[in-house]
Amino acid sequence: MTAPLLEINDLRVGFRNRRAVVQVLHGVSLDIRPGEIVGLVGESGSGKSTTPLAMLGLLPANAVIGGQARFENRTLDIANPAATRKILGGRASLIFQQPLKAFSPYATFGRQLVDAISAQTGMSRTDAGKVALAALEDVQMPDPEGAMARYPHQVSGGQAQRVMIALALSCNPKLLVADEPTTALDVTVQAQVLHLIRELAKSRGIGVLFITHDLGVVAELCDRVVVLYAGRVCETAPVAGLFHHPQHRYTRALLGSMPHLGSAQAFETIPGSAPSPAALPSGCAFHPRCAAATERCRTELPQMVTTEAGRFACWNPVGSDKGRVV
Amino acid sequence: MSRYILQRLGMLLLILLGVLVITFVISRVLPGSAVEMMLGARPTEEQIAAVREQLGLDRSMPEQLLLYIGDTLRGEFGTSLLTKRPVLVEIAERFPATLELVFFSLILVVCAGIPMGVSAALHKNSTSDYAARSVSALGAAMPTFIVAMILQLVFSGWLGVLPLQGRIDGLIQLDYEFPTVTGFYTVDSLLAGQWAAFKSCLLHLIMPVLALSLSALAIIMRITRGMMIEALGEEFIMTLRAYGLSPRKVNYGYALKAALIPLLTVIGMTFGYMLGLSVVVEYVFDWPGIGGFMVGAIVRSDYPAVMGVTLVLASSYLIANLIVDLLHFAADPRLR
Repeated sequence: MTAPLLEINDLRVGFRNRRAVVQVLHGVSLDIRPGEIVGLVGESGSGKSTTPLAMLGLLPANAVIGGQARFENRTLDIANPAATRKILGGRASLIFQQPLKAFSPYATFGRQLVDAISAQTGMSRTDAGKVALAALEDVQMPDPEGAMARYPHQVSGGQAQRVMIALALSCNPKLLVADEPTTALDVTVQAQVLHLIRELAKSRGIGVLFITHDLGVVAELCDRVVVLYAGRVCETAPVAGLFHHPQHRYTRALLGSMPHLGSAQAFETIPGSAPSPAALPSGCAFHPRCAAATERCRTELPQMVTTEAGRFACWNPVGSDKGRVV
Repeated sequence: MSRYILQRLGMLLLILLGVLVITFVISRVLPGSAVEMMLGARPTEEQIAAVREQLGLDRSMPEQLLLYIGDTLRGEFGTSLLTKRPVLVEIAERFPATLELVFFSLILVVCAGIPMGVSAALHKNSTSDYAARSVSALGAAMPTFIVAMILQLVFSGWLGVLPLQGRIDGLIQLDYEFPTVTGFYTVDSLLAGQWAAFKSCLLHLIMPVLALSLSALAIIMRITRGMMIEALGEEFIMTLRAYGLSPRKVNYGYALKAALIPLLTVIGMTFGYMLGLSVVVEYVFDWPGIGGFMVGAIVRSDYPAVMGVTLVLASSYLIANLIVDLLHFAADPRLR
């Protein structure tokens, strides 16, 4: 197995407000290998948006960050966002959820691409312009020259996302973080964008962290999945294994809540709602919503168990049910 | 693209027509009769009839309105009942003084208020931010005439470094003559190369400009701060930061631009606000602008003068806003 491109260990993040520090990540560990697409799944409030921002050094000034991270065998000072940004600049890029909001409405795509590319590579503006044009061609943007002269309000969301991906790939990054890049797009455009990301990642050997709440997208796109709940990783496994043999009760509940086409069986919802980071339940944070919770789940934090298929942290995993086919 | 501009021009003309109708109606319902004022006590029936005819008061209201609009369009603003001189001449003599005062105040407000607001936003919740916000709250809360009088007391009374009132030192104006070109004393004296006169004009401008600017400065600072904070919270700021743009470029190249475009409208409104406030400032500093003339005209029912001044003030406000709209149009690609 190739060495991981990015490895983060025990990532903890809290946000300072007037009164206290509210911790949202309680020791998240994950790794991404070159060419691998890792899905990061969770409900809102699980920390699935904070994790990538912490990784890339993009958290606001009131964030308190702890943990270890390595990128291409270099240690990152993850507690210092500016230093992290400096090392990752040009090597890791980000695609946002709402492509139209991710560009300034007052400048052309060309200007924003050129500004970003020359800031990352130190190229002259003319050279950066050539790189931008080439990147737009790589993402199959129709009329790339025209697109450079256009403003965000003049294009569709799908086209803006193509420009975003072009920007993300223009500096030949090793790592691509995509934060729900298709949520704001039409379904038909979604498929195109997913296809584009997969193709580019595989052909260039880029490691991708794909953040989503959409398990359908995960099944289609990702190689491996990390499931987050209340700021902790509850399970991580290759896609096929996770979908067919989930171990953590939360993973199983998530899969159960997916609608299935042609299935007479109604999809189940998870009772209750995700806990607030300010008031986490004791023990396993999922226990108040878990039908299989035991006394131990209420009091003791589950330990991470590594198996052949992956890792999970559950006192009463699905696999322990006797005689039951999952 | 030109539809936007045509739309604005059409709006401007409609509003001006509305202003004309309003000034006309007001002049006819104001207490105090112009006839009485012109003829004094106990005029004869014939005298009254003659004056009524001379002023056109014997015709029907719609007829009077049409005549008034026609006259105004021809630049015929009538004769001041008080000074017996054409209203247009009276206004032309005084309005440049008011405009000069408001213009310099606007420059101060924009050049100081925006950087202060930006700096407060970039150092949000720091000590300097709180200090700037407290000072601005005080500035907005203090009545302008009090500010003007405090300035006079300190800089003219105690320190004696600035002239108490007026637009230029009378003797200097006589010794260093300069022709009227723009009506702005500062510009005209510079054009004529009269440095002493220029210096005197500047010194006389300082206190009135400060007094007129303070509250507007406070407002612009607060609004700039708010707009800048909003702009810095936009998602595209995160994109630009993520892609390695320097904080300088992000803050001043992108966030400031996003904050300034909505600010343009506020600056246009500030112009109108200061135009109105200038009446008070001109009174305290004995500034020979349109304010004193207008107050006198209102008090003595000199309605041709009131109508003329109202029209000029309204037009200059509308023109300022047209300029703002054009700038907005040029700056915001979404309008094109």
